[in-house]
Amino acid sequence: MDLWANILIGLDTAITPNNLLYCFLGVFLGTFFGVLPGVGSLAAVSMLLPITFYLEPTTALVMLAGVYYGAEYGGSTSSILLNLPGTPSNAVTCLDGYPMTQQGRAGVALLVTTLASFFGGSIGIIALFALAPLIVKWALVFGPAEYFALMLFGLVAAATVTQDKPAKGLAMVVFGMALGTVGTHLATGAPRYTYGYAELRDGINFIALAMGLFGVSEMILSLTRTVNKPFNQKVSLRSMIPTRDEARRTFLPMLRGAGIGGLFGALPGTGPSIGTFVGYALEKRIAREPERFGKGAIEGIASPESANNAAVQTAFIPTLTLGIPGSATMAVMMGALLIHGISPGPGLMNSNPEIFWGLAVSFWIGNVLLLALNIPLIGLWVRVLKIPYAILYPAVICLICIGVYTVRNSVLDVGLVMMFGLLGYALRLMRFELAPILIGFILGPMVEENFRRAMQIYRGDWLVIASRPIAGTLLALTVLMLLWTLWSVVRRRRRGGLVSPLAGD
Amino acid sequence: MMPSTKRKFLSTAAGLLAATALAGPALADYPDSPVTLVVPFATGGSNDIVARQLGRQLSEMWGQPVVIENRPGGGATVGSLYVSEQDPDGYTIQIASVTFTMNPAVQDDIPYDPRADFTRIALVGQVPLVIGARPNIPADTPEELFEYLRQHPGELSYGATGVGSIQHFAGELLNQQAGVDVEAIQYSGGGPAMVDVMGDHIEYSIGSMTQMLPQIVEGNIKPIAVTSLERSPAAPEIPTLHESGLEGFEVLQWWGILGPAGMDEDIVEFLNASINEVLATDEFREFLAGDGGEPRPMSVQEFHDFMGANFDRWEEVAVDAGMRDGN
Repeated sequence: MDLWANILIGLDTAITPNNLLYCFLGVFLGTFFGVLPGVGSLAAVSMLLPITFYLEPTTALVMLAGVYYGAEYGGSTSSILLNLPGTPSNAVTCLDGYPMTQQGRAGVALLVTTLASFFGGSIGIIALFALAPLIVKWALVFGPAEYFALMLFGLVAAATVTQDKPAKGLAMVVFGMALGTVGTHLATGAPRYTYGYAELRDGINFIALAMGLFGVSEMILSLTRTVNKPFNQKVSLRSMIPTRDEARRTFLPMLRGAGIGGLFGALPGTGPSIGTFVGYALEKRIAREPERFGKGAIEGIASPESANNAAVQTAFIPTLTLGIPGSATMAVMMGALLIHGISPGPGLMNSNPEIFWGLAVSFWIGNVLLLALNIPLIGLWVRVLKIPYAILYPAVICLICIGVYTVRNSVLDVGLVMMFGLLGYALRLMRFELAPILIGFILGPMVEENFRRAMQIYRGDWLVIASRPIAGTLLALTVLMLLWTLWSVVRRRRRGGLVSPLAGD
Repeated sequence: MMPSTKRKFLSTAAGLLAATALAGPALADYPDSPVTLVVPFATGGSNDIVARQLGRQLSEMWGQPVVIENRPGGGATVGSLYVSEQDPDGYTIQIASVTFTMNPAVQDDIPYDPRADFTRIALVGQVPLVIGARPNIPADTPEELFEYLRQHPGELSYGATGVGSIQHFAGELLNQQAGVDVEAIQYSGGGPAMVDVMGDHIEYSIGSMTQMLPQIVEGNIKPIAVTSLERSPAAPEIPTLHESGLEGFEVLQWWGILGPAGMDEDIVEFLNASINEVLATDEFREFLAGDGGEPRPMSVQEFHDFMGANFDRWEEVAVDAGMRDGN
């Protein structure tokens, strides 16, 4: 019955006209910034933070949280329509979302994304209500050894996300990890590959990398297409409704995605992206026809989008109950509370229940608002694709440059977008997958940092890592996954490529 | 003729400007346009929060907006480099913390000279750190902690937030003065380091009061000592290291205001006086007290010497502890 009491406290706070208004404003602005290429959720939240200084603390956080999940949601829209991922999590959505657009089915992809986001978000919120105290205890068991094993697991799972040749996918993961080493080495303070640029001490800007690799390369590629006209899109309401078969194939991936995302999101050291990588990899593993993935499989967007939004919600658990932000965006959000003199931490739930539960309820209201806001907008977004590329693409490139520049006032980042655009183009000509680069880029540094910490804490004895129950289990799973991949490659070779003509070239 | 009139007007204006510049700065008018207060960190951190409070009160006092501009990156070097390159006219200033004087002790490639390229204007406030240990550590007092650490030389670890961070300096100074050997494990922030203390993965972390106090209240972290010479009003029950055998042990987080080198003395004095006026208000005092901090007004000369002493001291600690080698 405690739960109901808490929901009532939350409703009391969340449903005031003021909070409802700012919730809507946050969700609206978040969607807007998320859709803009070159501006991710972190930039959106950072830019809007100063506005919230003049609001009540709860209202401020209601609005910022709305911006956050609104931007995560909006990012998937540009991923699907233009192959422009605004956040690491959205990179996975590009894999099958963009092919669906190319097939003229952007409407279906956007609708499924909206529903999966709402579903995942709702599951995440339920977890936030029911499990917050429990998850907090569980999360503390995770030390450097456990995080290392978890990240390694995610990395290997991600390496198999690629469709064609595992070796090519692995090469790109490693390349991404190499890009991830740029910046100040945490353990020694030594600058690595910064070439004297102070901006590079923080590493390569993710947005610059993602926009260049995915977006700009796509635009260069479009110049070489013989028929240079927009993909024919149907925009009627009926065209958005998935086929029966698709609807059937959406539900379970959505459920699994929400579970995986919610679980990983609640860990303070992971961030939402790893859940989307693992969710996608899992769907591909258990699918009857894995070769459909990467070519517009509906499961390939349902699972990661559901995972992403579940993780976005559960990521508030460590932030609010431990005072530990799981991601850079969460850190900004925590700053918003600190500015108002509220210290997030274990006492928050008791000392300011109206803030904690008010937020949780407002998240759900925000998700409903997102649904209401976005389903009518799908038709509008799809119409964007009707704009001839000769006009659309230069405009998008401008927006990317402005967006990337605004975030850090850095000319270098704009240069990097263009550089990575050319690089992405070259890699695509050689038929390399690009998503594994981003996955390696995100997870690589986490693997390295946690490995380094674990090695230091256990004084170089790596057997300690393997002998810890959670870390050991995760490492064993990772080995199993590797063996499975090898085995399936060998099996495919033996059958002489007859089974999956799509799998080789 | 329009163009020539305009040119004439411009040259007159320029002449007038030059004349006022020669006759000394336009102190009488300063500030007659918005002042930019650069925060070389992202929004939401302690530097940002302090800068915004200070900026708000200064702008109320002056009747001129104080614009907060976040220029994060490169561990504050991006923002500070930007400020060092601006006109020293008093319209671009920045907030800097104790790490500004720590960085040069461990980094070779800072793109400016932290000692020479800035005008030191005023100190704002300071706050001690607190040693927070894992709850089941077999020690309740600083003395017991030192004893425990001495019994396990080279086996134990503490959490810090990067080479040359204030937490790292505090930890190495503790190693030196207590004669113990605890290894620094670097984290990307105070939060993650604290979680590993709570989760029993490392022994302790020397972190900010803001972050630690809520966990201490809940019993998730055991407070051992604070790093100031006197006990903190925010947590008077926690002893100091100074009173527990480590005489003179002091590591404080502080925030100060700097400008580009070569600022006019009158404007520096004016800014110093304005900032000290803000520090004297109850509003500002209560604002800092919320996180265990206190305002610390200083004259321009005092702040100048204070920073000089900080540069020298951290240089010495870094050399003695071998921090440049990344240990």
